[in-house]
Amino acid sequence: MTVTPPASIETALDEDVGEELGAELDRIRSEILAARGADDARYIRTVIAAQRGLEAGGRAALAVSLFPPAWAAGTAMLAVAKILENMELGHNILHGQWDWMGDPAIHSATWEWDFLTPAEAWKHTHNHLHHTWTNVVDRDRDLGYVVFRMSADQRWRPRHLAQPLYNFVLAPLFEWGIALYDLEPDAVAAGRKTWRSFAADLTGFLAKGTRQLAKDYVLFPLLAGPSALPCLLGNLTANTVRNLWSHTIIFCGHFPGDVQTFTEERIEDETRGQWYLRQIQGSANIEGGTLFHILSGNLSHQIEHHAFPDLPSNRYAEIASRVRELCEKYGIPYVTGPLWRQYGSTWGRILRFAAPGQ
Amino acid sequence: MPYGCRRGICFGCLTPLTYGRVRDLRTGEIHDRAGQMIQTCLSAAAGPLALDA
Ligand code: FES
Repeated sequence: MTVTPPASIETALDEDVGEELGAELDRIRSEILAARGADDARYIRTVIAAQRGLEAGGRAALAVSLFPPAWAAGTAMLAVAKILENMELGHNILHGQWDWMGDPAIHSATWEWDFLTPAEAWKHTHNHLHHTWTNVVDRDRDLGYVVFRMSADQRWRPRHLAQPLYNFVLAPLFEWGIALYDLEPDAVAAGRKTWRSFAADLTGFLAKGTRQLAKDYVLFPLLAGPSALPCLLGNLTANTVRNLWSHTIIFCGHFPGDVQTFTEERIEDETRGQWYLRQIQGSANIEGGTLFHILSGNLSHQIEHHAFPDLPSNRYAEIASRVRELCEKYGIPYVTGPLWRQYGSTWGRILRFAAPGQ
Repeated sequence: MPYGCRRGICFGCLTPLTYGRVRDLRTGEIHDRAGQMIQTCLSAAAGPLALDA
């Protein structure tokens, strides 16, 4: 739902509004920076402990998963552990949200996640390219991940007719999609990335991918002895559930129908306030309870995450009400809604832009 | 020296401080712990220093 009817581009990017809004958002940011401390550190360490416990419990249960209840419990625990690891831990730690603690074990420079793509490759395409160029056509590769057409400003090609099908295939295989995407084959083809750096990234991916596959599909099944096959299937199920979940949360954070896209001309000479406006209007929130927010890595507060990508995720909920109030005050659309609505709206966008034109 | 967005968003410019002091240009905070990762795009020297770039 949009809180206010979409403002015209002119209103939304009005310079004075941009400046005032920028100052108010900067104030929120510095308040959180000043307040963050021991409680926040305790929060992230608790999530890490819970994640480690769930993973250990899940792996242990899957080691005896010839016994069906152990299979069900083990798979469920491992799926939740993987979701927590990728969303609330991996994504946010790799953003540098916890660097301020000075703990080398919980730091954007050292964290490696339980995901096919190497942290290093993802930090480049996500933190740098996507977060800098959020929803700018031809600049933000995340705007359709090179495969989908998500804006009328993106040129239609016949292959876009099949994009609903791509989405069905991508969802369960999401980590593979992201790993290939992070190699930036399109940039190599366009001459924006050298073959040498592609080769280096490919080597990194092969090493990381081999470790990941060996862990879930060779090592732990072998350790499970007679339960090897159900253990392997449990790991495959957990990875697939995590893929479906992260695909859903991420697509619902940027592609519901009301989320705006931008052209390069429109962001020329963008001020800090206008940068904030673009981040807000280029994102969508998902409503839900505390547990839902944690499992989504607080990307259910995608708007706040995009405005403040390096603030600790446990703070987004309290920031959200303030950001929303500011949006109401200045008549800026704030796109939010329950998961089912954002999901339906995202599918609507995928279908709409599969056809040529608007 | 590594960099990405050059505006404090991506943390692609983190470089360890070998010695000395830097000031975070957004918050004014001083960092002086050896080995600490510095967001170089937003930091200014606050005296003689060395980075492990
Ligand atoms: S270059 Fe992106 S944070 Fe410094």
